[in-house]
Amino acid sequence: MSAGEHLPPSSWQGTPTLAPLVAPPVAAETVVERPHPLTPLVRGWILLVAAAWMLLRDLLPDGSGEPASLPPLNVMSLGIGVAVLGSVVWGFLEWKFTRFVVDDNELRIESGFLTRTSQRIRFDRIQSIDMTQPAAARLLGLAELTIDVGGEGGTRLRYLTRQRATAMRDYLLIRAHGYNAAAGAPSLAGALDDLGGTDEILIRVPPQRLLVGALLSHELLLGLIPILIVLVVGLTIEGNLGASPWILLGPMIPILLGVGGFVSKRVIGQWNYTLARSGPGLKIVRGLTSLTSQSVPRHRIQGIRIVQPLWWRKLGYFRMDVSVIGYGSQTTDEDQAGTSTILLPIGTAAEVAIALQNVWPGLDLDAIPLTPAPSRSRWLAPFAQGWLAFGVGDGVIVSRTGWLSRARAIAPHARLQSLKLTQGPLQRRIGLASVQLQTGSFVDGAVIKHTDAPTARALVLAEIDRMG
Amino acid sequence: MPPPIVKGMDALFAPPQENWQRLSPRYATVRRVGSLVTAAIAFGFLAAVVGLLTENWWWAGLVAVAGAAFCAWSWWRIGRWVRSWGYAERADDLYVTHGVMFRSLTVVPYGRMQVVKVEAGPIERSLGLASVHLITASIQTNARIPGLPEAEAARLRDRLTEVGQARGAGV
Repeated sequence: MSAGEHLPPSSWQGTPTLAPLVAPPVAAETVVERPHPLTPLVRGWILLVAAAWMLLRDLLPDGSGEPASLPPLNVMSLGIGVAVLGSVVWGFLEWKFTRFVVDDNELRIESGFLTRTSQRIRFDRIQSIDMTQPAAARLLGLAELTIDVGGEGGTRLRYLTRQRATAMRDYLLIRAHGYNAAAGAPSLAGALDDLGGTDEILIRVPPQRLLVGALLSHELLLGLIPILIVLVVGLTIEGNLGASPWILLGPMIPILLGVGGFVSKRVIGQWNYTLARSGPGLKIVRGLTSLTSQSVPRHRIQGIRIVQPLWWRKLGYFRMDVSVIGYGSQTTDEDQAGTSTILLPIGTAAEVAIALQNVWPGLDLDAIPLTPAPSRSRWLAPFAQGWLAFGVGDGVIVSRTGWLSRARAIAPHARLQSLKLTQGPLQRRIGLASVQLQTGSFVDGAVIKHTDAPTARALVLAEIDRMG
Repeated sequence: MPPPIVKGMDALFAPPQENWQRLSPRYATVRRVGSLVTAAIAFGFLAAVVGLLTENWWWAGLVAVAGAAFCAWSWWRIGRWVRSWGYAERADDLYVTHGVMFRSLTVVPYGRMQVVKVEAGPIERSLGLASVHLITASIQTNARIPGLPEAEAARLRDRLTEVGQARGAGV
């Protein structure tokens, strides 16, 4: 936004416009913002659809020659009607009593009509602001903002129009960090993307690669095998099933749910994945039905894991997962709107290097000397023996594990919380030990498996000095 | 070729400088009482069920004898397990070791400690024991020292809190 340019006034109410987005104003006027009137509709659309279906099902002629009649007026339909009406009234009241107030040094979210709640967020505690457009909101042109204050969960502002949400995000970021993230061109979010004019695109994953990766991942194939088994078993004993082959659907439902969840997380949630540098921060824009714009909190990353499943090795693709304090308790919608722990869903080795370079500048993964596991570890890990290794670099410690999925876990020394040296009875016979690098996140910590016992002890003693 | 048997594995879990400080032997009593009560209830129930089902109380007696044998083995095993615990306070970190079959050694730097808790159940309290529990930012850290005399537990808690504050490092 250039100097002195105001945003157009909001279209539905005469609320005051936001102050010019040039520099943090010394004495800013208090700005009061209301969520969009369609907010309760977006939040409760499933209930409305269900109620409408139940009503219309009886009203539409059902082909049996009888005239259409209203549903019988008994206690149940009356109860359902009251429930639907009550939820509509509740949603309206919630909307009416919710306000977002931008003050001199804090953001206040006032809500509730029975018990009034005022949630305050100081500007200097705001670390980043993500913008998400869940499926229903995207259709209506709305978006929600998730404000990250470094703890668990994030405060959500639901729902504003895209334009207002972008303006609010930029304004709050200026107040919090003092920079203008979109100096020059305005960062206006569209329905299909959310990239500002000066954002530098680092990595873009084409959808074909995402589909190929999902088809070749062994979670999907492991999910298909039970389905095949159930089908084969069912078809061969079909004689006993009678007239209904749909009985087969019963045992398949949990498997289908698992496969569906996997597809939603890896494909639908990561569609059009783009990693971009926006000002001093990194941002990920992704999603097919819900568009999520998520910033990467570089200083809170506890560890990164680079994974390569079996069938991706021929194609040379990797996946990167990141563990961040506070991500474990994020609630996400059904199509993975919100924060996700996937840093890069599928990428080539060059793209992995680019992502690493931007998250931890100065880290050269290939230059770290690796100590492989001794050959006698094949007694305990026959397939993984050639891959197991660990390496200590300047700022990080690297551990390689896994045989079907080859994983490299990278943890900075400063982020380790404690170390645990373990040895089971079989390891004791062979002279091996394992070291668990314990970090502060919900994702599995890194483990250095089946390494020579004296080496493990030396590593623990040396690492304790490096950690401090 | 059979894998070589390497001797001297105690070097792996040797204390960093001097000897390990051990738990109070009375802690074995706490564990044994708990284990005996559970075994008595379980085996008693099993013996009663077997006796009622087979209508022959010799089978129930056999189950009771098996239960007694289990209790004796458990008595011996718990003694070994309690003796395997050890802790050592160094200048900058705390070492805790335990385990008989699956041995482990946990190292926690003082600066990473967030909370130090002292807990005591009813049986422990009656014997004058307490456990110290260290909490860091990682949920995987399970640094617990059970079965310490109350005075030692209080001393450890105060010392750990004091050095933890002095060296507090953020996440």
